[in-house]
Amino acid sequence: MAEIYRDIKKLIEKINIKNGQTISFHHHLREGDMVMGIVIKAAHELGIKNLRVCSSSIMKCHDFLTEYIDNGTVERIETSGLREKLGEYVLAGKMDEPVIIRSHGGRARAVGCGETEIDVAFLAASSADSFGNATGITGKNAFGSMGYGIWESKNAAKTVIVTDDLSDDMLEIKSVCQSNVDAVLVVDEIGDTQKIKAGSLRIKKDPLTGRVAQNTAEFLMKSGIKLNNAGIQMGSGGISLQTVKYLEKYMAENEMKFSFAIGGITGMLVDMLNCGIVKSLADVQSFDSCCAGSMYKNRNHHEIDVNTYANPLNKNNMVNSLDIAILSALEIDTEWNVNVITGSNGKFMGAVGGHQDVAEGCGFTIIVSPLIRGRIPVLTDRVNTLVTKGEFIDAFICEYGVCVKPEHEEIIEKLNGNGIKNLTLRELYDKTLKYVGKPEKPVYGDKTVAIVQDRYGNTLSEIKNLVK
Amino acid sequence: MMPDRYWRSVLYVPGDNPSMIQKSFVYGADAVTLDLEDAVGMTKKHQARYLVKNAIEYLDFENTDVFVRVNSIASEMWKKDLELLNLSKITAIRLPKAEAGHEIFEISDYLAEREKELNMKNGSVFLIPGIETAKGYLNLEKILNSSERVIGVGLGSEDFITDTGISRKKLETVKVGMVLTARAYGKFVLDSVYPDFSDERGFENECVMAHECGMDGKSLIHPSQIETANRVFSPSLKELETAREILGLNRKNSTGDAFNYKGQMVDKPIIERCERIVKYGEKNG
Repeated sequence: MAEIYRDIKKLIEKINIKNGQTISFHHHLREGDMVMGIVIKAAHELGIKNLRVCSSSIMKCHDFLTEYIDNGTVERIETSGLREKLGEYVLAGKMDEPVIIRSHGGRARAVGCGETEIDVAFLAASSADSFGNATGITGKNAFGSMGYGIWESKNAAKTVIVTDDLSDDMLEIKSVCQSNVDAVLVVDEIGDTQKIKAGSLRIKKDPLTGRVAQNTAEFLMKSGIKLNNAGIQMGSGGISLQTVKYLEKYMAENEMKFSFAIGGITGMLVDMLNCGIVKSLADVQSFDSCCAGSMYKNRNHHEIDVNTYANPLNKNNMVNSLDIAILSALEIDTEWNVNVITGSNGKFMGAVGGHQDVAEGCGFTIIVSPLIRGRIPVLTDRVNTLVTKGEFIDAFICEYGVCVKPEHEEIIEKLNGNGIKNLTLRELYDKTLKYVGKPEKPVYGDKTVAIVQDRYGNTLSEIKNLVK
Repeated sequence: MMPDRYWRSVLYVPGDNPSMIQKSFVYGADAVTLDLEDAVGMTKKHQARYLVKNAIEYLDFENTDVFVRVNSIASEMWKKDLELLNLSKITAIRLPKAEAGHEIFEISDYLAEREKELNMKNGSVFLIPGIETAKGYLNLEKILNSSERVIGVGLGSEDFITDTGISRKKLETVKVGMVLTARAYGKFVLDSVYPDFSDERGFENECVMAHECGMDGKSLIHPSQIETANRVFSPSLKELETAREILGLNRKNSTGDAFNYKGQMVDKPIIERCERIVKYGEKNG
């Protein structure tokens, strides 16, 4: 039987968290997460200092961290993304140590190989049993896959399951195995049910998104790229979701099926699984609340850990089996490099997520985005922050059409034969200059406030404090 | 003569909105109407004229034809609307609230002078008068015949409903009437906008009704309406195949007499309709 605690402070004292140690979290509860707050607050009240917070991502709901950095409880952060108030705080140069930003695969590697040694992993679970088994698939706050947490439980020195649904009987589904669990903490609520259940994804009705999606779907239908039996990652942005909608119809009409879909799994992919358009789903992170129920009922909807998903040191990871991926971008430059972490104003606006992993592993990677957002061009001469190298990108699709890398001669010929003109990045860049000119670049200071690593731990970009 | 073009979807874009103008041609509409009339408030007319001028000058509208809707003849603002524009980049001028033939003469004469100044062929810029009142409807024949530039007309239902008291649901008769008159002179007819762009089903129903009345396309107020309009106002693949077969048989028919196609008599009007359908197919792949 696992040790069960109902008092967080007693638990922290028992497992003996010390100053300067590394504690980790997953972000499967999306904007509804309360677990990080419960742990950090208790650590502060116990006078623990200089913690390193290592989270699979940091959301807006974690803005409270600024307060705990100010009071010395938290000293360092490792994450896949930064946003809002915490992002501005970091950019203002208020942290002594730079934030380490990694992709999901990069984090899996760092945690697995010991580059980041986790002292205690606090893993939210919507159900746990008194043996220590845990899952996100059942329980009142079911959130779906525990893909990031599963790998954490296998590598952390100590693992604590945090749940609001403890069962005396053994769980039917065990995402995290009791053999990797040291203790279970029972709390009133692991998160805000409404925000956990709401999911983050809805199809946008705006015409620009629809146009880019139409261009993307048309490209996939007419490029000669093999769709039948392909492995896909479609992403979770509005453009990707609408593209899936267009493709769904085409696949059904032509009696084609995708072999598998991976990554963040959306309700739309679940629908495609149920209709038989995709044969199986490998779910490392669930974007819609229906995913939990689907994994519970459907044996072809698999929960996978992040090691299986994208760890580059694991040669059999799933991103390497991908045939087609659709990814978004905050910026792309004329050398095909992509930025998904900072906006053109220099502010943190997103997360690396699986971007680097998928782009590197996948057979054909497409970046989709409007060419101009508001009055800001997405295509630029040089990305503000390099996140994914241009060598891993194969095509860029925007509202004005399709731009495939020149080395894909066969695809370009096929497109031309089907009446689709292949644009060049230069042509599109000139269009942005003509329409909206060249925006001023942000002005940075000298202090390094964040480091973006590649999947293997090399530094890709150093982000400096933002002056203007 | 019916124009050698197909305007199934004609998207209105407010002339004072640079962001919307800049993206207006990416959505797949057959034409866009840069609007200087109702969509632009009185205080913004001047600014909108410059925006439209620059848009026409600098944007590449690619395969989308550009129309400009000027203010009504009665307002005297139409000349100011037109004097800045490079007419060589405009396919047609939409003229709101047309009620009489002499109005068309006036604008047609003005366009002829401007075309001369710009070394353009006389009559290059077409006119599409808007029928928005009972008087306009009753004078439709005169309006259609007032100038060679008039290639078709558009129904403006909101003003028409206000002027006549006829409900939207009962506009069917008006639409058929417009089509009959326009066809008599080889012109096309555009249906009016459907103002509630969130009502997809209502919009599609109205497109179908207009198509069944013989109308050629529809004015639109939102890009989300383009796909439906293009679909409804396009001939089906089956119609296209049939038209190609009939034209193939006609080429072999050296007598020029009517002939039999699957039990149906084929004569000149059917041949002309088939030619129109096939021409559409060639344009739209």
